[in-house]
Amino acid sequence: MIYTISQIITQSALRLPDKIAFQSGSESITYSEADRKTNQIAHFLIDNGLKKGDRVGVFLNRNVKSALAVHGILKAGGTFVPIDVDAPIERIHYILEDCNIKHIITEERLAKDLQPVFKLISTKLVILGMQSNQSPHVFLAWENLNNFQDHLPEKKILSSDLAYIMYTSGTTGFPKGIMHTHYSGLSYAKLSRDLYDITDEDVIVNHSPLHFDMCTLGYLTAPLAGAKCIILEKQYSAFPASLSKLIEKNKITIWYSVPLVLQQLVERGDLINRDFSSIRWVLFGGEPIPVHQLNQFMQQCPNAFFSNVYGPAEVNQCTYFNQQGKVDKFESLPLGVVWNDTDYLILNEEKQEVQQGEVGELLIHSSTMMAGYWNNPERTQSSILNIESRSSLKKKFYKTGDLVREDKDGLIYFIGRKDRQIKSRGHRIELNEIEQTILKFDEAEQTACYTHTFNGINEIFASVVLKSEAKLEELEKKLRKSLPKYSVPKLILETKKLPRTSAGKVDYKKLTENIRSIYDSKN
Amino acid sequence: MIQKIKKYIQSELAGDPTLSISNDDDLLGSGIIDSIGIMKLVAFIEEEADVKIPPGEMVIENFINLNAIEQYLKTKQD
Repeated sequence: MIYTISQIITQSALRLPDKIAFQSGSESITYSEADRKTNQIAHFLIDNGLKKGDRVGVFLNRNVKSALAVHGILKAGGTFVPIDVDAPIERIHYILEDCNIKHIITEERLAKDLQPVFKLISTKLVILGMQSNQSPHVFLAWENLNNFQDHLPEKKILSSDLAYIMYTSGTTGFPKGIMHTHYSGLSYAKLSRDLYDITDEDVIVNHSPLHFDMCTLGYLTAPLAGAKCIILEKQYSAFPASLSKLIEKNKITIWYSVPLVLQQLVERGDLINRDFSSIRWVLFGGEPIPVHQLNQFMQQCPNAFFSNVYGPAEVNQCTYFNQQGKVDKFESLPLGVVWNDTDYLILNEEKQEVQQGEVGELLIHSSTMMAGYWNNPERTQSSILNIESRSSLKKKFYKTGDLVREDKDGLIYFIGRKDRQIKSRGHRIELNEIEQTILKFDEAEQTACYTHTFNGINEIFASVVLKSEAKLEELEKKLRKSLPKYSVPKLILETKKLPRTSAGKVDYKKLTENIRSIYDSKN
Repeated sequence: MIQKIKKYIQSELAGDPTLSISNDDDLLGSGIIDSIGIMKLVAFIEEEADVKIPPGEMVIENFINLNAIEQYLKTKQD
């Protein structure tokens, strides 16, 4: 029986040794080779001091190596921590320190991005994937992994052990690490395999970088089912016409992406000349999809079922809404119903269940739920409600912060956020984090961040009151160095003072109206 | 033409006019050009070279590096 993620590759290799497990660009690897390689990675880590539970940074592009790193680390008893390769140095350094990371897996072409980080760390690091003699660190090139043993290391790994920590935007100006155990990660893999009936005949395309929770379908579910996972290289996101070629050529059967990728395919994917008849499931999530876009894309995939996937990274997935054929019943797609092994509550401000049809906060209890936030017991506690569930046993429910409504057919609809978290191009972003980051700099006196949708994309804007003689360009430069690209406001407006409501609060409505008038006058 | 494009990539897309880019440097994998950048670049090339780039030709192999862009533009002008 499989009860940890670390068993997945070995089990599938026994069953399907010569089948391709992962493919990316011109690289691919079979299950038996992947099993050997991941064993070697595990031995390398253990031989270089990795103890059970230690966090290992994964600083890799979307490629076959990233999948091997994940499963190798888990076989060694380690916890993998994906690091966004496009993140500013400060953020990378923060994650390494926060997780006390001593081992990193990377690749030669990213070496120049990691070099500045090494200078900031005085303790010994062990790095797989690049060559250097920068002391006191230890380096090993990928090619030299063959010097390590290729049998499975003997490590007692429990389903309750930590498997991975994914960092996401935090409200305080620092990212927070969501902890998943082998149990919660594997539960996700099993539930998604069963819901979408994924088998070893499937070809799954993975769009997500490893630090984005949507990658778990490709990195965990696919190998569990013995399917082939095609890991899309970053450049495909800029070239829908290349992506559509790849879908056709590889006879993709399962698709999972943010809605933006579907939109780009419809607009620039050269779809007239493509055959997508191999696709049997199109999964999308991360943010709401406009119904007309979905309908347009549906025409391209005559044989496909469509699934609107919902779930904060804290619970992986928790609801789905499946559909085949044109959507005409709904103005916006419902989140749907909770999936197996999951319970939910919709509560009002007084922590009481709302009446059917009323709006309340969605709380989720599931086998796929996180163990908490890394290094942050207060935050963990405030995100969880210990409450009597329908089975009259006290259970832990995660407070999603999402406001929802349930209709008479039992379908759940997304209404809005309780706080100021937003989604932009599928990324989850706390507007508070951007404001806090801006205020850290000497240039800024006051600031307010807000969003507005242009051309179907939710864009971020900031208005800033500068200190006297401060320069806006300086502030922008600093901001780009400390925030991930997707969090940097599209436009920062300098203003003498922020508009306020009669109660003295920042008037976000005025600010959005202002930005709309600026853009309308441009077009 | 290719020098003009290079200058545009350096100053407008990378935001660093001094950035060294050789003709076979991977512009896409290295993150010099992202998904918004490529739209800007295509608009720039269409304007400057007076060509039309249809969606079907906006593919990785035509834009992976400066050499590829040059080759591609040659086929447009023939």
